[in-house]
Amino acid sequence: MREKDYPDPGLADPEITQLLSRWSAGEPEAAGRLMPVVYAELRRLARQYLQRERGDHTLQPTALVHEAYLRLAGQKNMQWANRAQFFAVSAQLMRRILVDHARGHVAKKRGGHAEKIELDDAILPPEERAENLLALDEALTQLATMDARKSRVVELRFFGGLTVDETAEAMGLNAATVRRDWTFAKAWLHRTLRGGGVESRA
Amino acid sequence: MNADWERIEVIFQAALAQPPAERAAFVRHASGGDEKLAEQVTSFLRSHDAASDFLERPAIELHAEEFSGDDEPLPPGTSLGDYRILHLLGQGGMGEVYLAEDTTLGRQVAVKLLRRGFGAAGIARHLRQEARILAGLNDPHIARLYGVAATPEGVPYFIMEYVAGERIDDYCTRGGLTTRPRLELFRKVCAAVSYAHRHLVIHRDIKPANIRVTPEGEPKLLDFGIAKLLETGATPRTENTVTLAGMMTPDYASPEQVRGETMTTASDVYSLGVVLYELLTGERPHRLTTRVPHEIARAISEDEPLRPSQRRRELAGDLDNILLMALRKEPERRYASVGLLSEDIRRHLVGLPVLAHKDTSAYRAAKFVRRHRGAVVATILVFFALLSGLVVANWQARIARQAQVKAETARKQADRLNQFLEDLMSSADPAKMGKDGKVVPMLDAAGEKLDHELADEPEILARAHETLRRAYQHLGISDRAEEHARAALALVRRLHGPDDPATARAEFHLADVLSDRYRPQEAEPLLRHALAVERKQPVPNDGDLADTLETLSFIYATEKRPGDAEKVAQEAVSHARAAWGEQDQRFLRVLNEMGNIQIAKGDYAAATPIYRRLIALNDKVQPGGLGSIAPQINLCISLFNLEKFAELEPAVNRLLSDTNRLVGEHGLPTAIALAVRGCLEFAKGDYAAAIPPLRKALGILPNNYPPGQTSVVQCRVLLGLCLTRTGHAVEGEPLLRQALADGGKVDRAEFAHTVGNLETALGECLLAQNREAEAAPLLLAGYNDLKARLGDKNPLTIKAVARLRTLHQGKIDSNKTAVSWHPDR
Repeated sequence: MREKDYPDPGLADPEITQLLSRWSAGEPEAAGRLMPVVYAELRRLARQYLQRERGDHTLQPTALVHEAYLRLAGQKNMQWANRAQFFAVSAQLMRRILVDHARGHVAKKRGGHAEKIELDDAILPPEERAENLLALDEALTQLATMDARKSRVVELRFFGGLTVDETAEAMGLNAATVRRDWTFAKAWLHRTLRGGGVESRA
Repeated sequence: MNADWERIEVIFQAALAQPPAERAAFVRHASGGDEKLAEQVTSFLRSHDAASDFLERPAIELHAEEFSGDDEPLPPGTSLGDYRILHLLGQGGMGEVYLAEDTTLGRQVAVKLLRRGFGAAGIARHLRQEARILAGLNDPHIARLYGVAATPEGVPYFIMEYVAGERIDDYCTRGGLTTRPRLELFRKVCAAVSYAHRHLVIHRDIKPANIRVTPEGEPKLLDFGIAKLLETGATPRTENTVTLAGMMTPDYASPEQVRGETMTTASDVYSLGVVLYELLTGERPHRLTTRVPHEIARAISEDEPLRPSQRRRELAGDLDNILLMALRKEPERRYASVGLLSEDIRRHLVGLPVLAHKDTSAYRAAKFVRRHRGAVVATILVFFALLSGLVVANWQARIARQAQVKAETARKQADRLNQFLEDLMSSADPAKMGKDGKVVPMLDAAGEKLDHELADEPEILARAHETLRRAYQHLGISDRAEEHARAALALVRRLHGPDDPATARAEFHLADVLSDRYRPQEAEPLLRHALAVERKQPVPNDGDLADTLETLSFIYATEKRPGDAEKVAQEAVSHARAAWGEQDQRFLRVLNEMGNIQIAKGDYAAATPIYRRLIALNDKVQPGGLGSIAPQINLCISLFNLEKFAELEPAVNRLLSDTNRLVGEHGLPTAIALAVRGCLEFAKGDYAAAIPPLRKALGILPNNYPPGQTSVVQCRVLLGLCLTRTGHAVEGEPLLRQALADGGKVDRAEFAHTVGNLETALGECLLAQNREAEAAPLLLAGYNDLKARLGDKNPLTIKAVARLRTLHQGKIDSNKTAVSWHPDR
């Protein structure tokens, strides 16, 4: 995801507020306009984080997401129905952001509009990472057709960075159910992604 | 959601609540005879077990670095040292690449900023050192690396030649190139890689994205050696576990690369093979369907690529063979050099027969002295070729600066070297090189020039010494091997410090040569230190540890400490298994040490089946290869000591034929085989037949072993006795005298059974010349020595008594005396 791939994210504050509420009210096109804002905010926070002493600190994604959304939504005194909606939106957005980001990577890999110079694969190839992420996204979509709840649990946990308890709260389930869903969904995804077939769809 | 799905989940969850051992039975029971259901649940459980880390680290964490570094490209006009940024060319996970202007030289350059993965501490010293080597690559088809620098904040950046061009695959597709121009273009790529190899630089990351074709149609390779630079310069990462991010798809990586093993020039041969495969068929050799790292590694290591002709029929024949040879799993069975790959393509283009179909298992090699160290002949030859190429290049550089006449002479020299290189590369049989005697003088010449030519390049100089060490060791010329091993160690120690793994490896190499040379006391402290360093590494290298431990075991066995030897050997075997698996020749080499321990204990009967098994395994893993030579030699020595001459006969015959074929008639293993043959004839009483092999063995052995070494002494004694007993006592006398002098010099424990024999042997020789007065004290001393060591009843002592009696009777019955052969191993 590049700066130039998106319009200037400097939207006016009331606009952000409005977009967030429109999207949470179920208007998908609002997401497209929100993403750059959220993206910029997440990236800014991530950078800030990484610029601190690295030491043995690891990135706390949940904190990051929370901070981003609190800044975007909270300070505008948004009327979110509840925390669950808040989490759900954050996870969905993160998923879309990352998936779009990955699509950009993959598209540019072969003669896209911006020349991509691949020098870094020796350490961790972003294209492969991107392709893996896209595969996961696809599998997750497929999972949703069979068992929407489990797909959602994965979305909240993996993309939203939520803990089991937070996921349970966001979805109005008890933690044991979330834990079971998570375990089963992970096994299914792992099986699907390593080419183990999808016969369980039947 | 459907019923099946729910049933699967219910049983799955219930099964997880059972103890792991009881799950299978539970699933069978709970499925109530529905086999398909049971199967599906079981497969979910398997995935569950494999997925413990899967998805456990949130997506944002995996991608945080991309997020954080993507932003704020340097705006046009920014100054970085002497460079002014013009605009962004592209971005990768490590940072950005810009088109920039070199303000001092007024040319355009590419500047690559390494934002991520590098600590703010700045550029490590070795980054600069490596970069200096890379900057030395000056070939029209390689994008130059001009240098490495750092921003004031300590962010390193590379300054590189700017190449305006498109990827080679896009170029071929867009231009609609047919097979022939694709091959011709590819050969230019090979020439560039070959050039870098001659400068001891491996690319490590050859792929279409790194091969650009300029508007003039000339290919240019980007990022030569950069992968290595990044690997060594990057801060350690933590996410290389089984996470989504860790699942890479190394489409162009060689089997050794995906297994994390040492990469050599052969790894570039492989990657070039993948590129060519893709250029010719439009697809990659492996369709990777899995994303699990170890499965990818397994697929690349084990699955045979589809024959190119199965994808495009017109590739059947030469091109099939050429590609499959480049893509062989074992590095040593691929083309021995990129030059050979290119040459084969040329041969195909002009309609000559290609080499590719030939079985090159003879390339596979190990060390071929008694216990083969696993140095691969092909690799040695390639590295040697590189070295010579380097010398050629330096010569040629000088030529440019010299007067015309001088240039002529120098070119002739260079031509000779080139000719030599060509011979070397076109020879499929490394032994032939040793046989026709060309290699050694060339190596010697290269060795003499080395220090002078490379005085300013300690890193390259160290590699060159190491290369020569391997070449000499391969050829069994141990004294020269030792010189170069010492030089390499001194340089590496200076460059990396005493406690670096590189230094440990250099110590191991020197110790290895010293153990060949039968100097265990000098080798042992080196190995102990190397071992300590290798054990201390955060991620110990099993292969290196196996090598070091195996040599240490050999040293202990030599020092007659079988208990220590066995302990160390067992550890070596377990590291070898971890590093290479059991179906690997290097593993078998280490296993050989277990047999050597039996010999050290003097238990030849126990050693024999071990060696027979090792020979059979080697024949399976690497038919016709060098791996079986060591166990063969050891088997022969065991059989000889067991006096099983009928079994020994065929064993010696095979050994001699194998050594002659594989290392040539001057190689150390051949010498040992000849010595065994001599012993056998001697034991059979055919003294005339024993003379030629013993003579030949003695022409080789003393160059490799110190004077007092058992085999050398024994060969002299036997040859001296054979000459005596065939009526040439005068000729035999100096041999026996020298044997006695040398034999007396070394630890007499080593010669427990033989010193007395040495004395009696010389006595016999003198008797044969009717010099009884001189013979008498020797025969008496010999008798006393044997009696003291072995007692009255020992057959050898009894024979000595008989000889003394003969002396008194004034005549000698030569056919009834014998000297026993007790080789050290």
